[in-house]
Amino acid sequence: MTEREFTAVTRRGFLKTGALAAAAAAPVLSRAARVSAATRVHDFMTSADLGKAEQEGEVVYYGHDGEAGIGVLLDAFKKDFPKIKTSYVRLQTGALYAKITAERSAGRFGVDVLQLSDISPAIDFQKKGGWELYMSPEYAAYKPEYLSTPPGYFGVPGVGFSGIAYNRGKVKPEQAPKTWKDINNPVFKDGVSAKLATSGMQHAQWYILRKMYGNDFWQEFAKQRPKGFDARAQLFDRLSKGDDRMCALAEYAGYTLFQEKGADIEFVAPPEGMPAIAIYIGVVNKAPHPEAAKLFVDWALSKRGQMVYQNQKILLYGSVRSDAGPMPTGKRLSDFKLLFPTDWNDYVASHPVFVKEWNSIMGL
Amino acid sequence: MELDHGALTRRGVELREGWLPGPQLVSLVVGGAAAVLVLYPIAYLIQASLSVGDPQARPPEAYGLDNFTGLGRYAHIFGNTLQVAAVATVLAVVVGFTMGWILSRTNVPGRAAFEQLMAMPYYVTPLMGALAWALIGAPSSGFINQAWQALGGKSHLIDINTAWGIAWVMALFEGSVAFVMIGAVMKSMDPSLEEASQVLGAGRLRTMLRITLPLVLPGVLGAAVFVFAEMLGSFSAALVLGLPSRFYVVTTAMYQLVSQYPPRFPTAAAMGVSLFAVMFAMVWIYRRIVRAGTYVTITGKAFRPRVMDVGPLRWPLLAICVGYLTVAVILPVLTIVYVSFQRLTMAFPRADNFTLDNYATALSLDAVRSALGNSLVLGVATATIGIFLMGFLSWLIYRSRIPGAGAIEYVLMFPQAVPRLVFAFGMLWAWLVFPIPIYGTLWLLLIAYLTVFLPLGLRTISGVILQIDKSLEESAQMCGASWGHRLRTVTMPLLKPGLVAAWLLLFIASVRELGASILLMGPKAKVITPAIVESWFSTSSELTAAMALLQTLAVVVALGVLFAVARRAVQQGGE
Amino acid sequence: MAQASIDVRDLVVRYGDVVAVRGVSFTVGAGEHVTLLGPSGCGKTTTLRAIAGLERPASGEIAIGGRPVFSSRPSVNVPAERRGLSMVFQSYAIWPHMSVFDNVAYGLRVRKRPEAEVTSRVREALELVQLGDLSARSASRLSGGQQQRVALARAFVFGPSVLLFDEPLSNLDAKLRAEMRVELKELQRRLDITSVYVTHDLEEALAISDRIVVMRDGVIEQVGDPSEIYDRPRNTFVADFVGSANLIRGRRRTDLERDGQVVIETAGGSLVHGTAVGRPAGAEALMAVRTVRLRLERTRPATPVNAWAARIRRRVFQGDFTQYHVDWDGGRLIVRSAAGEPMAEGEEVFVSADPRHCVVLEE
Repeated sequence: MTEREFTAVTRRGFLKTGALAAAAAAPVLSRAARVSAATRVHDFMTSADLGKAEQEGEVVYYGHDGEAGIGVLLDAFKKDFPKIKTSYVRLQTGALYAKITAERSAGRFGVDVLQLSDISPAIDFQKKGGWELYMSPEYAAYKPEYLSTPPGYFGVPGVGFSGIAYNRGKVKPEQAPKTWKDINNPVFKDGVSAKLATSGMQHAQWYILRKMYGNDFWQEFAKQRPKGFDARAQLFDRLSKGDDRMCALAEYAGYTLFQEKGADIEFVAPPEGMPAIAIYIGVVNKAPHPEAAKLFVDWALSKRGQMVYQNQKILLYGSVRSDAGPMPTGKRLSDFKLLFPTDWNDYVASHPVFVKEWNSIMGL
Repeated sequence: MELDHGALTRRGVELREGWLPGPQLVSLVVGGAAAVLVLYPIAYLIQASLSVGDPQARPPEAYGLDNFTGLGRYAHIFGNTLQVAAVATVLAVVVGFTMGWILSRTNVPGRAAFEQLMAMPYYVTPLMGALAWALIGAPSSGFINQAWQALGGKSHLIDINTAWGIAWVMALFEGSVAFVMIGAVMKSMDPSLEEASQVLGAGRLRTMLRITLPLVLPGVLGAAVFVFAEMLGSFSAALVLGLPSRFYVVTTAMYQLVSQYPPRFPTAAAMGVSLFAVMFAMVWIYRRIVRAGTYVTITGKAFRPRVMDVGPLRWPLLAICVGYLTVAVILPVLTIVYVSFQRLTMAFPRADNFTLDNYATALSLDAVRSALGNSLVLGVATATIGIFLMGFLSWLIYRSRIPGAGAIEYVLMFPQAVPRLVFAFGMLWAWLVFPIPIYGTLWLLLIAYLTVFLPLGLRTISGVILQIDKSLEESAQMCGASWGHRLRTVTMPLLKPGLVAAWLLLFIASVRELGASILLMGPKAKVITPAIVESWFSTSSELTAAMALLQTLAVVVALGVLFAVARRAVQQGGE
Repeated sequence: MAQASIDVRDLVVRYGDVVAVRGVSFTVGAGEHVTLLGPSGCGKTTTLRAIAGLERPASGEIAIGGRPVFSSRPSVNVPAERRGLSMVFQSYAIWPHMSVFDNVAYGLRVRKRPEAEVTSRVREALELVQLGDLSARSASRLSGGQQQRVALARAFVFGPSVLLFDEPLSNLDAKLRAEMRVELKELQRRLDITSVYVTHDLEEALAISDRIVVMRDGVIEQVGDPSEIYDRPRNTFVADFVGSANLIRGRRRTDLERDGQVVIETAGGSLVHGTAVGRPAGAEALMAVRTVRLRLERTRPATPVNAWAARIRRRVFQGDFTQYHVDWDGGRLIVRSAAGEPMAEGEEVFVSADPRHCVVLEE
């Protein structure tokens, strides 16, 4: 398709043409699929033209991590590539995706790299032709289940998982939750927190526990009058101060960070397993700085970048690179019982149901 | 140019009707542009609210009223909004009236100082006030409640995360306008009216009930309606304090609806339009009250009211004044300062809990540095462009005699009836599709700020303009000065001190703005107040406190510098 | 200095629904000093401002120096700044942010006069108003009287052809006002510019005017020079407004009239001889006699007519004169008498008046 046709398509409305694009195979959008030679930069492989990337001089990153987390990530990139400036927008995945789609529907293409924490918007973006088809040489280090279908749209720079956490000072030992069913214990009414419907992790937990315990499970949870928040830092902040007694979606990474600060909190890994999500990163189509974008994605997925994602306390994602080392706590992902959705199509289709139900559980 | 009299009138004869002399053409153009600025986003808002069918499609696939009829399931949110706004208004008016009374009618010591200090809560900003009170009054971890529990109390003494808590914070930090308006009403009342009552034998209480109160009441009522309209659109307090307890008002609900995927723009727009309609009605009522009576005056002499000797009552009244300032300024600021130095906030300080890490992190965050810089730049730009634009518009509406001035005033006061967030929502839509790429840049924020601050600027500057006696301009006219010359040599220099005050007001308003900016920011157009909110939601309260304090510090320093410059400018003008 | 005449014809000015000036016509000759006199609300200030160009009339014509500056048909409206007039405002309207010098120099600078000329003319003007040594002072630090002089200087320094005054002395206290009145007249004669003056103060009007236009409720009641207005008022309003007058009504006694006099017989039977001053007198007539024109004596005066017996009811001492309230003819007369030998209350006296001072009024 020519540039103008493509633009006209995005203006007319997504879903019709999105379906079209998804139905048509990769060849239709293969303008950018030409494979260029991979070069070694620092200690990783990239197909981006480093010279051009430095000429572009900038990369615009849209991500869902907390401000401090993104700050750490971008600072690490800047240290490796001082000639490339970074700027970012941080919003929880739902809000982030809403923003980028609104912008693109109005013909504004200002984003280079997008990172999401939920598979549904990632696949939706793929359908809409939002990802640039780019075969990062670093994909070689990842098992096929951690790449997009077909590969080349996005990769998985990390995995997060959540258990339960509670405030030791506010919860008596005999009341302490042990399994997932315990989050519905009436003793926690008005004292339990979780994330809002904008969170990818929350979607995953909802889906998995629903499959495990049936639809009624979350209706019971609604009776607890849970409080919803935007980021794990907030959840743990409140938990540490005792504003909440128990957190039903306690990300392992958040727990580690706050425990180091001296918070009186305890983490529980329920025996059924812990819902896990992958985070997804990719180059955005029609990026203003395409070479810098490719460079960034290659860097993020490389061993070098993965060290940042995994070892920086404020990020602490488990890496799924085949050659990744252990997390700073000494544990590996394989040490935990992680629960992923099995039927991805069903999972994606459940998203609107999730949003509606979760909103009403949270009082909106 | 020799003004030969004969030539003058000869030329005068040639000036026939039908040719628009300079001022009229310019004013029509400027007035028209301002009107477009205001109405363009509103049009988009209304269009979005009527969009049925696919909520993502733009332009809308189909039009209908479904979004409005579907608002029924959000009835509790509308109820919340009205409840919070009503309580906040009552609190603000009571506080405003009490403080106004104490500071202008009694002989409580230090009145002049207090009157200046009454502006402080405005500078603390509603966001910082909400953050501080969240830390003070959270049901479990709030300082007051921890102290209460330490003293043996059960559960909590206050819960700031309730409707009353939100209303309390709103009244404290957004209600100072009530004080200003009621104070103005009190100053415009002729004290001899009360003196006459007392001379005829009525005691103080009777005088107050029979004479003062009825005279002051309409003005107070007008202020109450105005404040209510403002409270309906409040955002910061409800965002920080309401979300944790699932308490939504219309503005925060709108924010949530557009921040998730898939976003529900039409529903949010319908909510926004409903709120707009109510606020519009309120403002209309307010203007009726003001027009209907000779009570509230913008112009007119300010009387010096007779001060009552309240004897020993002085001290309890002084305590009230001090108490207000403590609750609205001292306590919040101290809390923020304290928390910003903590690793993990506790009510009872431990030596090992103090740290400078929060400041180190805050200053290292590119977001904070660039946001602070952006905010200051934007503040200066908004204030500077604002006073010229609004000064000209004020002169146009209140002093020139072009036809349609009243209509222009009406349109320009529109944003008063629109909650900032709702307006930003319309702007988001409107400017997203605009061919000029200002979306996501500071330019968009500048335009948004100038538009939403139009009522504020117009009110302030017109108050200054109307204080200038018309005859000062007329005498310049009689000396032969054209309207441009008059504006330059007489009107503007006389306005200078007032314009400086208006500049400062706009600067502060711009830096503290949240509702308009939170939706319109872009990767390179971050400003500090939404950044503080983002920090509150995605990092720790300690870091947020540090950021809030840095913002305040930056503003104070900037103001200090600017004040020094301004004072010199005012001095030069006065000679 | 230039002089111009002013021609006002059928002027109508409206404020919303209220008609402030209802068809006023008069002329001011070049170099003449005319005063618009009347109570508040009579439309005098509005008329003045219409001439200035600060109010827009609904209809009528105003011409200055023969050229129309306002006309409703054909439509003409010259803006105020181009009419070549000048005005002294009631509130002086001195600009507080400028010095005295800059205030006065304003009009010259607007006309882009060279700075040397400006300096000399301003200095001259300030000398004329006796403020020569204050030129550098900030205008915000002047007393009322000083502000008034600055306003004056500012008004005439650039040589306008007409000077308009809007009650310039009404904000001063009585003594200052009296002094300024004289100075103003001095200045007027010296400058010799056409001037239109508005006031409600009778003494002021009488002192400084060549002609007076008496107005009430938007219309002109009488036009004439000061002595005419004073000695021969046209109707009750003018008689009563311009100085205090006694009004005497009576039946015409044409049988007793000779030499052009008018004789009326009051209800109480007294005969009053007066002048008609060219006004038609019907079967009944109303006469006005100024209080100062009545004489009080203890013995019957030797005049053939207009001498009546009366009794003093009240005596009010007023310093420069004494006012006597006198019972006469079943009614009352007020007599103002220069302080001389006081007469006691209750005394029987004689009141007399020269027939020339008993004027028939129009009704």
